[in-house]
Amino acid sequence: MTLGWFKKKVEPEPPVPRPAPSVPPVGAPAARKSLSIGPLLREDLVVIPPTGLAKDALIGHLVKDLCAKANLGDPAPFLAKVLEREQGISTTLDTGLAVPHARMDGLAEIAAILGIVPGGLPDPKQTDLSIRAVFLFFSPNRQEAFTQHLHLLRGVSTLFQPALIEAIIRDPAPASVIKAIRDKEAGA
Amino acid sequence: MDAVPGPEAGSRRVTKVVVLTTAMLTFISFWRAAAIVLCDMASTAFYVGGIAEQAVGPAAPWFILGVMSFSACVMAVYIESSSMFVRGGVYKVVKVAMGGSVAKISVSALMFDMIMTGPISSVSAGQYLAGLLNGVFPYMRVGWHLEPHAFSVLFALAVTAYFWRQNIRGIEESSDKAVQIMRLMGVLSVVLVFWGLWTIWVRRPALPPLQPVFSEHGLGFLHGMDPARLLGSLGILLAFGHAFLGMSGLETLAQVYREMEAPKLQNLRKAAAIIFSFCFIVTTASAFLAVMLIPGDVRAHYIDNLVAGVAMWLEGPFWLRVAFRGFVVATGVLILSGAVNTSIVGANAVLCRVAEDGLLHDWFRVLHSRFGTTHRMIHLVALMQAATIVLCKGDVYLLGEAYAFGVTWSFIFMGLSVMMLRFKTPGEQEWLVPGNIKAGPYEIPLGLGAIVAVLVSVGVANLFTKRVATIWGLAFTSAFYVLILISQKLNERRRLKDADHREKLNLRAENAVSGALDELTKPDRVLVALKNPMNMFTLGKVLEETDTDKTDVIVLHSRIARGIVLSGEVGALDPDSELLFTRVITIAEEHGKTVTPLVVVSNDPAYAVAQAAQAVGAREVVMGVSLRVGAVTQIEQVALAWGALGHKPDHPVKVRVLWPDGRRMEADLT
Repeated sequence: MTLGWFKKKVEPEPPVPRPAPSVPPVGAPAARKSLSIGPLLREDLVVIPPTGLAKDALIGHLVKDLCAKANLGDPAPFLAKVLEREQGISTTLDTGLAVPHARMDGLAEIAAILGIVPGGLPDPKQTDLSIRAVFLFFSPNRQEAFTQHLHLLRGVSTLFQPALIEAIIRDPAPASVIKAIRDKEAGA
Repeated sequence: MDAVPGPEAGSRRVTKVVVLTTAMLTFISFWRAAAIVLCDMASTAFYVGGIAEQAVGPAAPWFILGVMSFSACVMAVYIESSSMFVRGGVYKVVKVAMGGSVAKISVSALMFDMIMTGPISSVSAGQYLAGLLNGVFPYMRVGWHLEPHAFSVLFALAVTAYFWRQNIRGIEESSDKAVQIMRLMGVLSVVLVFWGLWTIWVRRPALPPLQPVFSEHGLGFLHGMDPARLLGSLGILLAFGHAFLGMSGLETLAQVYREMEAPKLQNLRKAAAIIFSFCFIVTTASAFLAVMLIPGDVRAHYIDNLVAGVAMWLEGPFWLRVAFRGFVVATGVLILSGAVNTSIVGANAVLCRVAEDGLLHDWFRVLHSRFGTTHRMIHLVALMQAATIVLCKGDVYLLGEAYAFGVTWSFIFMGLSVMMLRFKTPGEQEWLVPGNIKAGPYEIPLGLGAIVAVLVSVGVANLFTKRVATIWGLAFTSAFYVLILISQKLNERRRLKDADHREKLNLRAENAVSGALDELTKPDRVLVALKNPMNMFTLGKVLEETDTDKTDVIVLHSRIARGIVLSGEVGALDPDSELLFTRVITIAEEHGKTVTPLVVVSNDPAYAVAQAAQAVGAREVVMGVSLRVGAVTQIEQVALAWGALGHKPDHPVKVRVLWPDGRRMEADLT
């Protein structure tokens, strides 16, 4: 550029290994806790949905299943909220995991279900991505629960890497899936 | 980074990164800024005394004293102008105040000033060197004698060629060099002043006479006028005009302001105070010492290297005086050569500013394919300087006379414009030239008015007394005016389609975000994701709140490539990205805070943000709110992408979404 003469000479410094945090984020817990995914799932909440469903239909199937098994009541408002979120930006990741979700008023705690799609399902918004596992969940729509909600999103996408998805597709039996998830979370 | 390998097909990972290596984004302290300006302004101490004395006789120091005192007033005008425009300087200020046509005339005069700065500095340096060598050859039993004018031409051409090459190659003369030169100059000044005072104490010489005695050259077109008319205020005004180039270099103050760190205006005032004090003492003291210590019949011998003459006529042993003269010449050559570089850099900067407004054909703006510099502008400046050096045949007086035209008229245009802006844009000045009187709803700028009146009077007087300046200055100004008029016509059609100014940016492609880490040196890091060039409030807010001494602010723009097309797209920025980073540079300059701009190619902005934040070790990620999807969804997408990348940071990471109205949403990501 033109005014190079005026540039302050910056002496090379050794690389900084990690930046030190200066201000803790507002609303952050005092100590960072990791949210475990395994305990959120029971064997009846690990399912293989019928093949041939489009993404919205697949989500609808999982919402109904979860509402029934977790006694959440009428699935219609849950489905509407999830689909509304999906219409904004798709939650499908390049690892093959889709994470449809919604924050619901009046919900006491997180409810989740895992759908396994062995044959894969193209995401309608991102056709180069294939959905092979769907982790659908609802979390309480409360300000104080938002951090937990985010940690769950991050935790799920961290956990379901291609290797784990491959493993649960190879052995989709609910008990095996839950074991694989817990093993992975335990660092085995 | 402890990343888990992701799938290849349909990957959202960033594969290409462009680092913008634009030098504009680093900022300097007021000490450095002062040193840079002093390299230009203080260098005049080496020749202004000789030039003024040739015009007005031994009374010259009194007029130099007057001019150097008045420089505080002109500096105040520049501070007021800078308080309105970060990218200020004569051209910008005149354009806003008086419109494009007058701005073109003013920038032509300014270019004359900057083109002349190089030759007068380098030729003067050559004169000092030739004087020293001719002085010491006999003692070394060397029978050579260098013809000072011829030697100074060759030396000046060599110095100009050196800095031309450095500027073409983009080799930055760091401000550290300016600081080092000014340290030497500081030592020289202290020794000169104290040794000079001691010599005065011992010899008790008479003060210089107050009455100017104009030479034929000093009267210019007024030669032959009744000498009685040159007494009194007219004579003082004419003589004052001959010492005016003592304060040349102030435009550099406006140029350097954009690179000054926060708090900018406060730092500018500190820098101005340092510059004024230093120049006032050094320039005035050297002029007085020359007339008081060097006998009148000998002074002509040192007229082109007057400070060296002072060194030789101090009280003390001969060997010590010769040694001090060597130190004077070495320092003089360094500072005067530095002024050559400043002139090339400054002229290039002014041409860039003019080109940004479409007044120079875009042919001039093309960056060097290898070095990324505006080489055609640098060629133009260097060629004009070389031609001036050859044409002047080593005559410093001739150069000084011509130089004064650009200096004086730049100040006049600046003063008039700042005055007009008092009425045109009242309230926009963060700082005002003192001397304002309230009269009802109006504020009358008496101080500023008086300064402008003096400037205009001197400018008009100089038109009559400086024959060379008037002829050369008007010819150059007219020629340059025609050049930019033609360029503007050629650019007109294209500019209609592309109204926004775009900064020419230097790009460096990297294969991973980590390739940009070399740019980052601070212990803390904040990543600001920007998308829309029309919506840049996020960066402004972050810069307001961030201490950039401890925190690197990384500005990320992700170019969205749909599908899997992720490679081979980073050779140049698209127009939107260019506009976005042009505005990033402007905002960074306004705040005087450093940012590191990055462009990544990705087909998912959330992945781009997460991957960049992880790679740079950001403590915080800041985004502007998306009215389409909302803040919650924005944060959720970053959280999903963060996890998918498989990175486990060992420190908390916060995501912040900002609204233009000041609302914000924050969340802990990790």
